[in-house]
Amino acid sequence: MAKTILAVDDSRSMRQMVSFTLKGAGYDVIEAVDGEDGFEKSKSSTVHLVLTDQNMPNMDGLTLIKSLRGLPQHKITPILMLTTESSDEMKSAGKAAGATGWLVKPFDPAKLLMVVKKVIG
Amino acid sequence: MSFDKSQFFQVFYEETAEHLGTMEELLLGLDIGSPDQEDLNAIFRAVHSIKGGAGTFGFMEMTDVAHIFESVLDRVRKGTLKTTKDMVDLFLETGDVLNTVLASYKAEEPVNSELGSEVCKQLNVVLNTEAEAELPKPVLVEEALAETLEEDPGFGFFDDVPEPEIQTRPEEVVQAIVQEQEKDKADEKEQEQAQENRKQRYGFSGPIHATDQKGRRETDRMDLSLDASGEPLEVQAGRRDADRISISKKTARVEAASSLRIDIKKVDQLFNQVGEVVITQAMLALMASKLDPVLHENIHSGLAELERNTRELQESVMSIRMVPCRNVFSRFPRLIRDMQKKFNKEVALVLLGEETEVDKGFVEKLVDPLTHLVRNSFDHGIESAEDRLKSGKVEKATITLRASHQGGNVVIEVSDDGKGLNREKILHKAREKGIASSESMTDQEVWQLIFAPGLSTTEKVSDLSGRGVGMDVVKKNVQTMGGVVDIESVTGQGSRIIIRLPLTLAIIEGMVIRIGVETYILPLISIVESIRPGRADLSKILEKGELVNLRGEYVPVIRLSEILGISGEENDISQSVLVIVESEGGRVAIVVDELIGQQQVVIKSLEQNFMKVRGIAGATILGNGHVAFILDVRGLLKFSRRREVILG
Repeated sequence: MAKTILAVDDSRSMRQMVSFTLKGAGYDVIEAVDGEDGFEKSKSSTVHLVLTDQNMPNMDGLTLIKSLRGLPQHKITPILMLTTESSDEMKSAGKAAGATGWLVKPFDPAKLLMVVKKVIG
Repeated sequence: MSFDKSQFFQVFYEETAEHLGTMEELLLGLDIGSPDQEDLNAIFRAVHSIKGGAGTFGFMEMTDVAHIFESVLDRVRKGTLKTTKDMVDLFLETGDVLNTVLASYKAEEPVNSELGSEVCKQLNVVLNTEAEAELPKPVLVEEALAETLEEDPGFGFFDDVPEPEIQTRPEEVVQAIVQEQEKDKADEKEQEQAQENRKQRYGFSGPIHATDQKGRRETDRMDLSLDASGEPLEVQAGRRDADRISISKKTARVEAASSLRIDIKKVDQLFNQVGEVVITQAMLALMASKLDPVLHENIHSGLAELERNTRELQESVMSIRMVPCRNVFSRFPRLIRDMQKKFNKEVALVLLGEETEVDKGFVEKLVDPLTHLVRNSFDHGIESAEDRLKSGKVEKATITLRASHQGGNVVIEVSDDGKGLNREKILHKAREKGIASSESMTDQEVWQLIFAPGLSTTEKVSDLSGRGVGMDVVKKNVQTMGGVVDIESVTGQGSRIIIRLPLTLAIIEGMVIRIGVETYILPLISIVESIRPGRADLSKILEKGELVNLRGEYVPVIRLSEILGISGEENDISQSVLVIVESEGGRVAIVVDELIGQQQVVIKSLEQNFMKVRGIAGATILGNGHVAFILDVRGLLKFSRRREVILG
């Protein structure tokens, strides 16, 4: 069974690239355009990993992570933050919200794949 | 993994252009004194996204500018920098620079890095001023930049992600057990992990275990545990590969369905072919009309269906080329803002009907004429604030851009509440320039004079307009789109320029008419009404031709039989139909023997296939396979005027 990854980003090109990279590696990818959309989609589908941007309209990444952790089915689902900010503040905020890890943008598709593989194989 | 990012460039370009557009719109609408927090956030996000994308796709010049810009905007949205008018100006300028840089990338030309560094310098000044006073920790650009450039690993994992308290699902229980078993191994791994985190630009928390090359991970085991088949791991892995192939095929199809880039030539070809289908359908309808409706009921109902389907097909194909007017209108808030700044006039811009769709081919062609019209309104139309107050108007003038669909046309209006056109001035100027004019001309005709080459009514030439090269170009541009320009103006109250365009260039709604033995098409856009005149309504004026009294207005009558040399026309006008046509504010009545019916016709260019003929706009193929000429109403009007001059 291919694992399903939810990619949440308000940037179309970013979503496309993430999605293309992951699909090419055999994952199923669900795209969401912001936190709200991501939250809705992760409620209704089986998701093995969530990749989320931080800065998005309607609902940002940190709020999404917190909300997901409130759902019984996503208490332990790995969640990676894709963020341009790699400050300690951002890291501790991510950790407090319940993120599994972070990946700094801009990143290489190869690096993304490596990190994803580390998490869900 | 080799990876070609360039396949995403186009999306990035489009997206960046959208972000820049959004940013500009928001900046223009920003209340500088008390900016809306949501707007500031949205502006920040736009630039943030541009930076993220540019960085990912390797557009370094753009990343640099966007980075500093973002830092400034971050301070603005956090309230540690107060917005000022100058600052917004700088932001808009930065937007322009980013647009220019984007254009260079798109054109695959070298980027003018001076532009970027100049604006960065200015942004730096903004970023670092007031920093000491208001920010506890000043953000230095170099530092901020270094942050992303230094050897930060770029990823990492947190060590203590909250463990689930209640595990209700079997998978989770299994996973928890697996995790427990792996815990010891994990502790070792964590050490390595921490080290790795420092090297790489990402990170993990504890419970996720670093992969070993053989791919024996908790998740695989979980699959195995849950899989009742109990197949060995190797088999499972093999099956996964099979899944992979089928999945990538599936996703490729989905992507193709969501959006497609097509060569415009192919769309044009499709247009032409649909045009042919329309003709064929009309031909079949005509042939079937001779068949007995009772005996051939099936054919008739089938043809009715065909007609409906053809129409729908045509609409769908046309919609491919349609884009909202927003694409044209969106640049005007900025234009007005810049002009306000330069000329110290307060003008509100109102945009209406932005969702109205126009042919994509018109979008680029509309920009110049509309820009010119808006500038004209701003420069000539709108009075100074004092004059406005004196004449009892509100100080702030309004320019309105409105788009709408009217019948088969797209109508775009530029109106203002300024002083309106000045009849005397225009006539005076026209005489001065030797343009044919007379005091007896109607207002409509006088207004049309401003489209004459070389006529400009401002006394002093300004930077904006008034060089007298504009209005005739506006008219020419609109005409090349198959449209017409009309002017309405009330002295002291403002003026309105109306551009009427066909929905598309390829197909028009036409009225099929018969004159003598010939069949012609009149574009429906130019028909005002059709009347059957009484003998009393008609008058012959010696050497001036015939006139018809249309509810008190005398309209010249044109006999196409005379102009085009058609035989067999009814001589008694009271036995004919008069079709009143209008173009550029003038009206004439065309003598027609019969109105055959309304029909969509596909325009075939006469110029391309034969030569330009005065009074004829093009040709089309009728349902019966005959060629019919499409009349050029503007040309006919000109002809009637010339005749007046010659005869009068």
